[in-house]
Amino acid sequence: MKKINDIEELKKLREKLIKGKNKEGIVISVCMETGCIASGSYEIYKELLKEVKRLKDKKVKVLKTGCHGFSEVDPAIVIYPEKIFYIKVKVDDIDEIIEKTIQKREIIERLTYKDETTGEIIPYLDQIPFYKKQKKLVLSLNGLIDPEDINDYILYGGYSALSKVLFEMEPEEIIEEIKKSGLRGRGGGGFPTGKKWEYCRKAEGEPKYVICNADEGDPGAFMDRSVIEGNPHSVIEGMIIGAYAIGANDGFVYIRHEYPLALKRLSFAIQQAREYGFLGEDILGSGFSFDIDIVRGGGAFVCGESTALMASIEGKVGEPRAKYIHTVEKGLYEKPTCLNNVETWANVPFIINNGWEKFAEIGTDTSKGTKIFSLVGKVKNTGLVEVPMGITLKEIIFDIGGGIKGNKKFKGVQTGGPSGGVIPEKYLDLPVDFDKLNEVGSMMGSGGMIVMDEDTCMVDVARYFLNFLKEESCGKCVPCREGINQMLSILNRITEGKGKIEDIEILKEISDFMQKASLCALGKTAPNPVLTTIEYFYDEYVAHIEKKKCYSGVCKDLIEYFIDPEKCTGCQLCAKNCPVSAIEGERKKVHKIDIEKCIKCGICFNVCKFNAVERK
Amino acid sequence: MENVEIIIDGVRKVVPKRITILKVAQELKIEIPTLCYHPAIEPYGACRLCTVEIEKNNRKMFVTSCNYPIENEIKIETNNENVIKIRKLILELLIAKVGYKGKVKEIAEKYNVEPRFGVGDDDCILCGLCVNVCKEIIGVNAISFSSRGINRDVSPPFGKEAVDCIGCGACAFLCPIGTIKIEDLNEKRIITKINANLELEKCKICGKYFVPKKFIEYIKNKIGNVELDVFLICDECKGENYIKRLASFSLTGGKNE
Amino acid sequence: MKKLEVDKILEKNGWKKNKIVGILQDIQDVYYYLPEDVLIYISEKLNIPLSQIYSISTFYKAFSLKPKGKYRIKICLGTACHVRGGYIISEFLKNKLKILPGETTKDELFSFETVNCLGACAIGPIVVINEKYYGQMDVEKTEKLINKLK
Repeated sequence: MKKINDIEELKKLREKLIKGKNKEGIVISVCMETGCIASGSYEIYKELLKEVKRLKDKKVKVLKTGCHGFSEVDPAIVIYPEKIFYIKVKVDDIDEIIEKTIQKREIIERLTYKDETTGEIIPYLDQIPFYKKQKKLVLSLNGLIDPEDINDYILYGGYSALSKVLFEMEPEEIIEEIKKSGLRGRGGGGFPTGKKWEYCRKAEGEPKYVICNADEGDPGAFMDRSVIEGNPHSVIEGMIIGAYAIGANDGFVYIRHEYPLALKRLSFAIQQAREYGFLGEDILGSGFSFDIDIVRGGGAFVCGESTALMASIEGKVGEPRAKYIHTVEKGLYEKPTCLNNVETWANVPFIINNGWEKFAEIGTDTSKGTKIFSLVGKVKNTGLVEVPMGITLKEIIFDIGGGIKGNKKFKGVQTGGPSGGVIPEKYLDLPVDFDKLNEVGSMMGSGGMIVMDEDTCMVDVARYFLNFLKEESCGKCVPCREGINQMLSILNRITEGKGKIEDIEILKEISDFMQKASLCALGKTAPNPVLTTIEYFYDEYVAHIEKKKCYSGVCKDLIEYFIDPEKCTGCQLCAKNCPVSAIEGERKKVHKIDIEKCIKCGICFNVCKFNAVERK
Repeated sequence: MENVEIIIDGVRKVVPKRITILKVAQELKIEIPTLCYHPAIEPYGACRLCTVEIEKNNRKMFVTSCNYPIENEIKIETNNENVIKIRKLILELLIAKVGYKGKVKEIAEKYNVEPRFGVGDDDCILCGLCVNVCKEIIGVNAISFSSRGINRDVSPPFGKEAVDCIGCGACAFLCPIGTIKIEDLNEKRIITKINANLELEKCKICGKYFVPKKFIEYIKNKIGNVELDVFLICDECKGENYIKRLASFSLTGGKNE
Repeated sequence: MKKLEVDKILEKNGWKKNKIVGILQDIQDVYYYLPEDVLIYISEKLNIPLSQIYSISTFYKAFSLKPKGKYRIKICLGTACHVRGGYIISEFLKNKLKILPGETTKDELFSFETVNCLGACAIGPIVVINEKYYGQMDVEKTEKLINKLK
């Protein structure tokens, strides 16, 4: 790759790329990110490459891309220009796809998405309900570009925002633009991004740093991974623009080590950006220099907290420190530091390219633009969705998500990870924005949305998060470390049927205390899952405590499986499936569960065709 | 230096900017309890016992007085009902962890804490004084925190013997609950909890074992080529003659006589 | 310990003290754990107190001070996997392999650990064996996988 020395050269390159693109006829795009690869998309990709090569038709191209979002139907492929969407594709299907769809332009109905209620065949991506209510700004190029080819990004206007700011805008103007757009931090807190940049620009001290927080630790959230795996250059471009606005020459991306593919794609993208001269000395001949270093996280949730993250970059353990002096003044190596999360950075090029008005026209009064959510749990259409701020929970879960799996009853939706809460059915019409979610005791967080149904026990959910945090807290301050420990003991007792009704008040008391006295946001927000479940699912706590019952059938000590001798036919299906060999019985004779061995996984309950296994 | 006016427990006071609340309180003889604070060590902010309530720009919040630098005109309440509630719960949680030991016991009694979560038997409240004194003041880094969350502990590397320990005893001196103890037995010094095992040197005068060999070596390396006899005399023998003897050495080495 | 290999890693990281977390990651990538002698060597070479390296090695979950088995199994216990029964797979493995999370079987064939979210939530529960991801897992599928490897 040759270095691009000025705007003209960049323009020429883009024109050349567009000419090449126009010559293309059919593009088969295969989603190749962690989730899709796990579902088998890599094998599909290889086979497609092989078969297309055989066609000897230069107008047909196979493209590996970031995620199209609809993980439930993976591996899926999209065939452009019509955007024909084939789901759950197998290697064996490929011959037929080439023969019918690529060569004869015929739709193979068997591979299309079908509406679950009407049975209607929906062959085109845009018509599928999962995509209809989405609005893609950040993910707009996912599915269109090869994340490992910088030319694809440039083709669709990539790095034009960078050339605009370097040659047409003063740093203060950029900050003003971001402020007016109303962009708020996508990492969870929702702090106005423009303000943060302004504080950092005005802070005294040199050098200054920018950091991209890609330590997406909230369990159930994978937006940032998808952005990096699908369009890493959008994050890099956002960071360069931010650095220019703030006056920083060094940047860091702190990325989870649990994301090997994202790490690989990001490293690759940074390398390519360097070769083209978007990173390094004298970017595009502007005189501005900036480069990015990647730092791998070590597997610590607390490192999502800014001061802990900075300590980790400095080569220390990820212990947070007091933020009485903000990190925009004294951050990394005690220098002014501007930290934003992946999705925040990725929004920046759009705002610069299209103007703040275009961004601000989307969303609510206080929350502008779009937000990416990972829609997971007990919902039919799991996947990654990008929606305008202000959309209701109901629209996300029922219109996009298709409702609850197995036609069970919706119980709640968990947002904000361990710092958030569970939102009950009565708030389904709540418009999703930073402030509205806070009002009901949860928070936006980074964007995990875990849907829960009647089989999810809310006391267990609260216990789950504290159990998560007991090891993920750094353990430095007493309120967080010991508070979590005590609350967890109480919740364990309740799920074992040994709770007392006054435990609920004690849980609230410790929660209040942790919110006030903990050192960092991890401890201050740790009680949220407990508080929201107590508030919205109080009856479940009471049932566990007073009736010793877990009606969702989750809390092991409160349930027992047994076989009804009247119904058991001795088919041995349960015994074969029992993972711990706890079921005994000869063929055609009544079976029995050994309570000592039983781990209460419920497999027998689910596999029995005669409803002979009962839960008490 | 710039000054700023504050109100602390109802009293107006002009203080230098960026001074911590705890320092102001100490000057005014206002008692704020601490467990992880020591004036010689960088405030760590772990025990949270020194939490106070402040009002800044009409917003109330809780901050730890040991490390909160006063920047603007703020109102501070060091001992109100909310603050006492927080301190009591901290102590209650610590008693659940380690029981009634040392300074925890002392302060808990002052605050009339009634333990609802039981009385524990761990040996460490993780205040960090030992780790931090060893790092910041002594410069040896023999021990550190290990693990995280509820598994956090203070430990020598690999949980084995503290190989880098020089046996100075600063950690034992600062441990607020008396877990770290120095035990000298003839030619051996053992320091509990941090698992140090050191050889002792004899006093040049009385012949009693009293100082770890590694400690002497460490001093030697720190201050260069100095005659170390003065460090090889035990406290008892130093007596009245100590200053005289000390004066007879120069730091460049050798005796003056 | 192969000094050359470790030196190469130190070289790659510019022999910089502040890169210690990354250096340990690289060591872990090679050995699948952090051998004590390597840590002592790094401590001496980079002049970082051993206590600090020990502290880092035990703070971050990515690191292990114990050797791993030939097959390194990770069970995701993120929220999405949890509500879909990831914990049942973990319970099952405890029984099947007779080890606790973080341990290695006596024949050094398997080690298994639980992780807090691998970010492939939409196809949970997730099981990862030596960097390969398996989605929509249950006890039955896991058992088949393990039996194949035995």
